[in-house]
Amino acid sequence: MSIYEKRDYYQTFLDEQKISLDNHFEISPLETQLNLKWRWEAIVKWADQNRDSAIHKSITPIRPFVSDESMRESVMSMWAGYSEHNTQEWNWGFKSDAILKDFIGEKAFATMGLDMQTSMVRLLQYDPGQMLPLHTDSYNGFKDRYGDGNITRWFIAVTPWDWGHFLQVHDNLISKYDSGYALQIPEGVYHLSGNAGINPKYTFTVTGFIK
Amino acid sequence: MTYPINARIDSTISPKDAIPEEILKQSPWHWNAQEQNHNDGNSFMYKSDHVDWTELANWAIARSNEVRIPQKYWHWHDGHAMHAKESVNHCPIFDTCKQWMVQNDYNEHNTRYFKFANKELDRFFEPLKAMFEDTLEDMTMSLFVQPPGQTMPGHVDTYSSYMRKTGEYPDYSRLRRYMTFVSDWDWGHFFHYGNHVMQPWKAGDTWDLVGGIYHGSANCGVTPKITMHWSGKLR
Repeated sequence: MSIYEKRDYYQTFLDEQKISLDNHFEISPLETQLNLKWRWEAIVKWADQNRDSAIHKSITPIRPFVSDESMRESVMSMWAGYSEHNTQEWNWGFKSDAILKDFIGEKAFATMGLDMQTSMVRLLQYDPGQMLPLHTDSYNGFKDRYGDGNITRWFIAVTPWDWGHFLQVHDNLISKYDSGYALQIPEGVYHLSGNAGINPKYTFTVTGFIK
Repeated sequence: MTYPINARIDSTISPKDAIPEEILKQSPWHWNAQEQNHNDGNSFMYKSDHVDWTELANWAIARSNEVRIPQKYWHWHDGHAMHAKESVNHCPIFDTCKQWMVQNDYNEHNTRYFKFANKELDRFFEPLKAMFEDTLEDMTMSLFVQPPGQTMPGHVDTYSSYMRKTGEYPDYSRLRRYMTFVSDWDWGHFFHYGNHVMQPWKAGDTWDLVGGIYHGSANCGVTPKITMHWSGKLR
């Protein structure tokens, strides 16, 4: 199918792929609590002091460097109601993620079973009113840098849960977590996140080869 | 196109600071997002079969498709907190609105929803009224359709609509709100009542939204989220 073929409704696409919330996805073996090397308040402060190094982006279909599946998800999301007004993200680590790795610390990488040197870390800020709609991860940026292999991605909470913050991984709605809560999100698993609160939500994503 | 964000990064906003004093006095609450020992999810009432919720959901979506432009949204205009075309500066929700739209970036793009109230509910008006007319007087009913990508930011119910309708300052000791989920829980449908996250729900699940608890919702999914609300004075 051409990536430019119009798919009116995301739900139809999910139905065709047999992606259903009726099929439970068990996350408990994928969860852990990490002790981050830095306190979350210090990470937030660093982010603000280095805001000029962050990318500020929002949903757009014009991303020729991503897979056709990712582009299709973007187009379907935009058709569903997502725009530059409700999907804004601040993203640190594109130029260098060395300090982000230091924030997390060697022990946490070992707990996640990832090789620290070849992992890729991003710090994300979602302000109130902003969301990351339903999607799967394609690891394009990681593959461009490190090549293909047995790749996975972890979500790590930087700020502790606050009212209105949420992450959904398949049929699991994750909330009420503490700073350092970590969850592995395997390739192909649909997930989303958002902030309907009044304080920003900071998270790390860590992509790497499974040791 | 990027632009400066309103929120200060070096401080955390406390929603409690914006809540009217009489609500804080009448409805003491823990006001701690990290509190694990709480009763915030204890006001579930029952799964209602008073109405064919699937039929109501289909009607609501059809009406929204006819209307096309969500009637309700929050925005800040010229010093006024606006709920669609009405200023709420004189209402008790005003300070909460400032936290949304002055200290943060909620606006007409991320708070939109369709609202069908009272007689607009057409053939559903009578059966919906029957659900709570013995419990509430001066009752108003509203059905909300929240499209994907939209939020209802955190707030405590301050009954501003009731205030606009009756002209009275709300007597929070008597006012009550009930809510029924009209459609089943779906991808990205989020509703927190204090520290309780109401997922997953089924159509017909009915909650007593007891006063004084901070709550909010969002639709980060791909289908509309539909809820029905009753407000009024306890008889």
